[in-house]
Amino acid sequence: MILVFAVFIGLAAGLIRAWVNKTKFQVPELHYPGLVILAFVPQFIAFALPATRSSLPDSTVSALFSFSQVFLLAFSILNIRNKSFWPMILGVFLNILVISLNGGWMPISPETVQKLLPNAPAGAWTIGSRLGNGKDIVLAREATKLWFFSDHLTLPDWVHYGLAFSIGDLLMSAGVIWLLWSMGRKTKSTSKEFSHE
Amino acid sequence: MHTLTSKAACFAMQHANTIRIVLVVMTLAMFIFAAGAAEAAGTVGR
Repeated sequence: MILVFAVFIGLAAGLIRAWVNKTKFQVPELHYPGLVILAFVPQFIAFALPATRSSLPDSTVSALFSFSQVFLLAFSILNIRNKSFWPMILGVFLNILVISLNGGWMPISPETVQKLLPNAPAGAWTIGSRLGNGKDIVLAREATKLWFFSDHLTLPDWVHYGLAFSIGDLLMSAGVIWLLWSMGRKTKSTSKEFSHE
Repeated sequence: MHTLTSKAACFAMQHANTIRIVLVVMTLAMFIFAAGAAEAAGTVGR
């Protein structure tokens, strides 16, 4: 969820850029946004909604998770003409690749879990099982396929927020920030307008 | 009812760009939520 913070960073940066450029904040045309809703709704039910996230069987959640990733990849590819979608496409693709190679979940190593949950009671998590009600499965580094692209990155200690994320997540966040930043760029008409002044 | 609809249409026209910005931001937030990592740690043991 904290990755949604990237949207706020990008939005703030884009708005400031538009203000500095004395231009209107321009909205890009996003194609097929309905695909994002199709991916978001099942994931919200499976991972975020307290009433359902602990009651759905893992097999159902895993299927919903994998299926929704396809919608996200399709959405990104259908918007490929916008260059800021390029890192998003790569990020989603890398995440899908790792998830599909590791049984339908994003792998996380026991070392990373230990770092995130240093005070977890014994038996709160086990190797080979899903971590809480999230998207991760705890797998030893040696047993993880494409470990480098799994959730092995963590926030700096001074942030005091337990989150592991992947290279793919970073790329997607960078793409979203880039897209929002580009919305504040100077338009040709604005440039002309100001050059006449 | 008709006045309400007209007012809503008028509001939408006046704030069309703002509404489009909100929709794009919401789409991107949903995209990041669905595509990115979730805080699994917070749900461990619950």
